[in-house]
Amino acid sequence: MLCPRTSIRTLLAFALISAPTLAQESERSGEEVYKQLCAVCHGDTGDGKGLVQLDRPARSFRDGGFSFGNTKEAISRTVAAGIGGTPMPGFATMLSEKELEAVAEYVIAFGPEQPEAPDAAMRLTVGKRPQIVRGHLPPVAPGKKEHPRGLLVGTVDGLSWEYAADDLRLLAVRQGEFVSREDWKGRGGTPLKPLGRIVHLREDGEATTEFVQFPPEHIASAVMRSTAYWRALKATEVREGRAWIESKVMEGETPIATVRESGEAFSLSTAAGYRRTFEVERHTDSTLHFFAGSGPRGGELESIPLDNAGFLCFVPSGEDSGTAYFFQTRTVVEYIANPHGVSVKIPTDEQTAGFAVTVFPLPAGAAEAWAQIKKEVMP
Amino acid sequence: MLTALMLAAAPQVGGEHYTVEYLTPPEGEIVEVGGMDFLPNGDLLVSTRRGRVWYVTDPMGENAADAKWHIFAEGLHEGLGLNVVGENIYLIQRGEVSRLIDLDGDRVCDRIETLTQDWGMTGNYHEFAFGLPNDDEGNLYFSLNLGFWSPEWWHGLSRAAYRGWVMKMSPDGKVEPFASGVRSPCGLGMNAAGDLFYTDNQGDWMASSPIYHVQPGKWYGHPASLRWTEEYQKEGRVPSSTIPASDQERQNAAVWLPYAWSRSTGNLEEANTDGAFGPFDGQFFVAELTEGRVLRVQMEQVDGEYQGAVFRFRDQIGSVCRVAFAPDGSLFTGFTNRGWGGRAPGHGLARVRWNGKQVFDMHRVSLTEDGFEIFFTEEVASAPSLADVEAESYDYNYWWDYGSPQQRFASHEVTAVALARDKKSLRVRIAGIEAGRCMRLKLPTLRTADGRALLHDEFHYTINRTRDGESALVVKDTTPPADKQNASDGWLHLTWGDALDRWEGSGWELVDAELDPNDKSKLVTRPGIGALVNTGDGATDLMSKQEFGDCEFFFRIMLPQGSDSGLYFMDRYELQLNDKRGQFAGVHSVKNPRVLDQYQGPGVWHTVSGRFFAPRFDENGRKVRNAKFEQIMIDGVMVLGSAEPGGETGGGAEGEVARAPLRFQGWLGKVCLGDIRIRPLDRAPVELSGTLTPWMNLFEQDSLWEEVGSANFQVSDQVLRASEGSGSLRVVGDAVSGFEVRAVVRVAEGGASSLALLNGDGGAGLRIALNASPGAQPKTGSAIGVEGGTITTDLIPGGAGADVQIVGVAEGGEMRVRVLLNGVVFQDLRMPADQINRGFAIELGEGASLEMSEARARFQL
Repeated sequence: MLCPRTSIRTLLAFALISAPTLAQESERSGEEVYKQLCAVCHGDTGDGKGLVQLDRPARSFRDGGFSFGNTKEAISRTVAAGIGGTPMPGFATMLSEKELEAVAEYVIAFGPEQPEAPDAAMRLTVGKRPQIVRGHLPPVAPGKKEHPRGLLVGTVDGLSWEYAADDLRLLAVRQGEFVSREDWKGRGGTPLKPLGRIVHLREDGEATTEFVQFPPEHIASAVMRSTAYWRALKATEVREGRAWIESKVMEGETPIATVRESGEAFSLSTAAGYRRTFEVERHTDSTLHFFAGSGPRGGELESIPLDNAGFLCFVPSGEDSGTAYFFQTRTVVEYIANPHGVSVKIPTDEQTAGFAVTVFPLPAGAAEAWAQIKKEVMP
Repeated sequence: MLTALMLAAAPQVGGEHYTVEYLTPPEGEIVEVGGMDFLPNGDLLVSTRRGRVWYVTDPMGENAADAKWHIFAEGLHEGLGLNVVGENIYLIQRGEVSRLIDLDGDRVCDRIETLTQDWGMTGNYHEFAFGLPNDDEGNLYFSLNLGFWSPEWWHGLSRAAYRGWVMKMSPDGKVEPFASGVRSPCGLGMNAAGDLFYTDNQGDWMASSPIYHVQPGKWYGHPASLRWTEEYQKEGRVPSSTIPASDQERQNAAVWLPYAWSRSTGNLEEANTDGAFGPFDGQFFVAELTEGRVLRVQMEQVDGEYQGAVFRFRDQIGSVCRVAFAPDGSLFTGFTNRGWGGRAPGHGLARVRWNGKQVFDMHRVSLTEDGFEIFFTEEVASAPSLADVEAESYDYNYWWDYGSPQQRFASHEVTAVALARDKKSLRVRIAGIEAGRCMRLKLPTLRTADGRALLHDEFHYTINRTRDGESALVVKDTTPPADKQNASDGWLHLTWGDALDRWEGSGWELVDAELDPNDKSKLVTRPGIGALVNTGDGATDLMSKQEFGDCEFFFRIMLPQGSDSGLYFMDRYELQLNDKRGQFAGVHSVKNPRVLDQYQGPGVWHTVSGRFFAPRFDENGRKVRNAKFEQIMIDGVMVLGSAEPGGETGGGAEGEVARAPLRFQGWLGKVCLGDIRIRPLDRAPVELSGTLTPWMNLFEQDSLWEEVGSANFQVSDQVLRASEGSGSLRVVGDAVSGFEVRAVVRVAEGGASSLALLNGDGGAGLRIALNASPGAQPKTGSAIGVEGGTITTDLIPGGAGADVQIVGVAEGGEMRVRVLLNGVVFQDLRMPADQINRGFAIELGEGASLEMSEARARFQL
C-alpha cells in the first residue's frame, strides 16, 4: 500500500507507468482503459477502493453517483478534463474520443441499471452545449401538480433543472439522461418526459418562490412566502457553455429586481451537490431575501461563517432535513440561518449583488457527511 | 350534385401554371411546419410543432433541393407562428410570445426572451397558440385555441383565461384581449391595408371554415370565450355549451370556405409580388391541410364591410398548414398534419412558383345590384348562354353540433349575361340575390378565342350585404338539434389509451405512418400514436382478448398499395380490407352489389362502420340463421346494404359458434388501423340460476346506504351523483350464495373510483376500477390488484355511459366473478366466497366524480 498522502503527480506517474503502451496501439476497450488508468484509485469493481488511498477518497461508481453527471457525454468530459481541485486528473491527451466513450460506458455499467430509455428519436441529449426546453411538465412527484408551462434546463454536467415557468420556481434537480419529447407524438400537447432521476426534490415538489420579502422568522409559513413576491421568466440564454435564466422578481405587477441564475454540479470528495449562481440587480429598494430552505423548526441548526466571505450550515431536522448549504459570495450580503430557515439578505444600499449557493442533499447518515463537508470546506 | 362537383373538380389541379418544388430537409428529420418567415438576407426561418426553428439557407435557389438546413433553435414549446420584423425574430410558443436572438452571429439562437406569458393554460392538448402578424405600430397578434374536452373530443371549452380569443401584444409586452368567439383559429393574416383576418376550423358553433375580419371587441360566434368578458366575469356567468349566447352580437365571416374545398384551414397571406406570382396581387392565398391545397380568396368592401369569393388555386401540394410569400414572389408552403389528418406529404416544405405561362382564370368578382361582374385575366371568346351559367345559393345553421351542412339550397335563374367591350369582364344578372347567402357560380363553357377553358370555373361568394344595403347573417339561428346522448355511450373503445392492451398478436406497434412517397406499396413510420401497424416482419394477426357476438363496429384504416387485410368477425366471417376498389369493405365470398364505391386508394385514411349479427342456433345447437352484415359504410356513405355469409370464410376458424373474438389479418400485407370500437348489440349469457330474489332498485331508499368519508353523495330520481372529496357509500348484509349487480355508470376525467365487493368485516375483497382519467391506471373494468386483471385501455372514456354488470356465482366452494362492460365479459375470476359475499361499496377517489343510474341488484339465497 502506498502512503495516504500520495500527491497527484505521483498518482499520475503511477497511472502512466501502469499504461506502458499508451497511444501507440490500436484503440483499447473500455475495460482495458479502466483497468490501466482508473482502477488504481477507483478500484477494480468501481467501489472507490483502489490501491491508492487518497486523502480525498476516489468516487465509487456503484451508486451511479451524481457529482459530475452520469451520462456518457458528461463522464467522457470528466475523464478528459479531470476535476479541478481534486486528485482526478484529465486524460484528454492519453485517450482517443472512442476510448473516452468506451471507458465512460464501462463506468456507467458499474452503477445501478438506468431506467428503460424511450424511443431514441424523441430523446434530446445534452452534448457540449446546454439545452433549454420549454414545455408541459408532468407532476414532479406522484400527487403533485403538472405544469403546462414548464422549463427544463440540461447542463453539460448531466444535471437537469426542472422549473415551473409561469412563476419561476425550481422544483427539482435531476441527474441522468435529459428529456424525451413526448409531444412529438399524438395530436400535440403531450407532456414532456424528463429522464433523469431526481436527486433533490425541493420542498417535497411544491417549492414556493425563493425571492421573498421577509427574513426566515416571518416566513415560517409557506402561505406568507407564496403571497409575497413572485418571479416572472424573462429570458433564457446559452453563453460560453453555460445556461442562464433571467427573471424579474415582481411585487404584484412591479418589477423590483432582475435575477440571472445559472446552475452546475458541485462536488466535494465526500458529498455531491449542485450550485446555483445568482446575479441580482435591484430596481427598487424593497427588501429582498433569497430563501434557500426551511430550518429545523425548533431544533438546533448549525451554521458556520467562513473567513473567505462564505457560510456553511446544516439543517438536521424539519422539512429540509439532511440538507447542507454552502454559500459563497462576491458582494456583501448578509446570511441568515435560524430555526425558521436559511436565507441571504440582498442589501438595500447596493444596486447589484452576486452569490452562489451550493446545496448538498445528503443521504442517510447525513451527520457524518456533514462532518466531512466541514472538514473539507473549512480552512 | 355532389358527384358532379367532384368530377368537374378533379382535373383542375393548377399544375400547368404553378409548379411545386419540394425542399429536402436533412436526412431523417421531420419538419412539421407551424410558422415561416424570411430574414432580411433572404434566408428562411421555419418554426415547427416539434419546438424547433430551422434555418434554411438559400431557399430561393434555382433548385429547391439544394437549400441548406440547420437548427437555429430547439427546445421550444411548439411554434405555430413566426414573424420577422426588421431584425427581430418573433415566435409564438404554446405558452409564450418570444424573441429569438443570435448574439454572436453564428446563425444559432443564443437567447430566447419571454415577452409575455399572459394567458391561461390548463394543459389540455388542444390549447394551441397561433400567430403572429404585426401592425405598423409594432403590435403583434395571436390567437388562443379552446381546449377540447369530453364528452365529445371536439367540445370546445375555455377553462383558462382568454382561450377562444384573439390577443394583441404591444411592443412593451402588454397583452390585451382583442376579440372573442374563436374556436380553433389556426391562422392569422394581415392585408396591405392593415386589416387583420383569422381563419377558423369547422366544429361546434362553426358551420364550416370561415375567414373573419378581426376587429376590437367583436365576437365571432363560439360562446365559450365569453366567460372572460367583463360582463360575464362580473356576474360569474359561464356560457352554455348548447344554448346560443343570444344577447351577443355575432359577426358575419368575410368569406365562408365550402366544406368540400377546405376542412382544416391554416393561415392566409396576401400576395404583393409585383406580378411575380401571376395576376393575383392583392388577393389572399389560404393554406388548407386536409385537402392538401392552396385556395385563393378575393375580397371587396360593401358598405365598409369585407366580403368576397373563394376560388380553388393549386391542388395536390401536401398538408399545407402555412403559406408565406418569399421576397422573390414565390409562395412557400409548409406542411403538417400529425394527429389532424391530411394529404401526403404531411411534413416538409414546398415552393410554389408561377412559371410565367398566361393563366386564363377568373381574376376577381364584384357583387352588383342584381348579380356579379366577373373579371378575367384574358379576353373571353364570347359570352356564355344563360343556360351555361350555374347559380345556386345556400346558407348554414348556427348550433352547438359539429359543423353545419349547407342548408336551404336554392337554384337561381340567370336572367342576363353581357360581355364587356374589352371582352375581359362579364356581367351576370341573377334573380333573387339576397343578403345572408353564399352563392356558388360556375361557368363551365367559357373559353378564350383559342379555345382554352378556365383554369377554375367556379367560385363561392359570401353575400353578407347586398348593394342596396340589406344585410343578414349567413349562419342562421335555428332550433338546435336535440341534446343527444354522449356519442360514446354503449361503445367499447378498444384502442384508446393503451392501444394494444386488449389485443393479442405479435409484430404490431403504435406509430405514426404514411405512405413511402417513393414506393406506395410501403409505409414510412415514426414514433407516434396515429395508427396500429403490423410493422414486424413476421407480424401475426391481431386477435381481440374479448369475445363478441352481435355488434355495431367502427374503425379507421389505411392501406399501402397492393395490401391485403381483413377483419374476421367472430374469428370467422371476413370483411375484406384490401387495396381494391369494389372489394374494399366487402364481405368475402358473398356477392357485394355496390351502389357507390367510396374507397379512395392507397394512403388514404377511411372509416369503416356497420353492423354484424352472429349466427343463431336452436336449443339442439342447430343453426337457424346465418351470420349477417348490415349497412356497411365507408366514410359514412353506405356501400353495402346487407350480406349473409353462409358459413365461415376461408382463413377463418372452423365451425360456427355464438360468440368469439375479432381478428384483423396481419400476415398478408401492411395495414394501419385506428380507433377500433365495438358497440355490443347483445349480452354475453352470464346469469344466476336457482332461487333468486327480485331485482332491487339500489337508490330507491337512502336508508340502505352508509356514507363514509368526505365525498358528496346525492341521490335524486334514483340517480346517484358523487363528487368532491373521497369517500364511499356502502351496504353490508347477510352472506349470499350468488349475486348480480348492474348499473349505468358515467365517470368523469380526473380521479379514480371503484365498485367494491365486501366481506363480513366490511373490507373490500375485490375492487373493480371505474376510472377514465388520462394518465391514471388501472382503467374502468380492471380487477384491481388481481393478476392479469388490469385493463390499461380507455374502453369507456370520460363522460360516456357504460353498462357495468358484476355477477358472482357459487362454484365448487369458491365464487366465480364475472365483470361485464356493455355486455362483454372483461373479467372472469375465482375468489373465496366469504371475501366478497356480504355487500358492496361505491368508492370515490380524490378528484373523481361519477353518476350511477338504473342501479339494481338481485341475489341467490
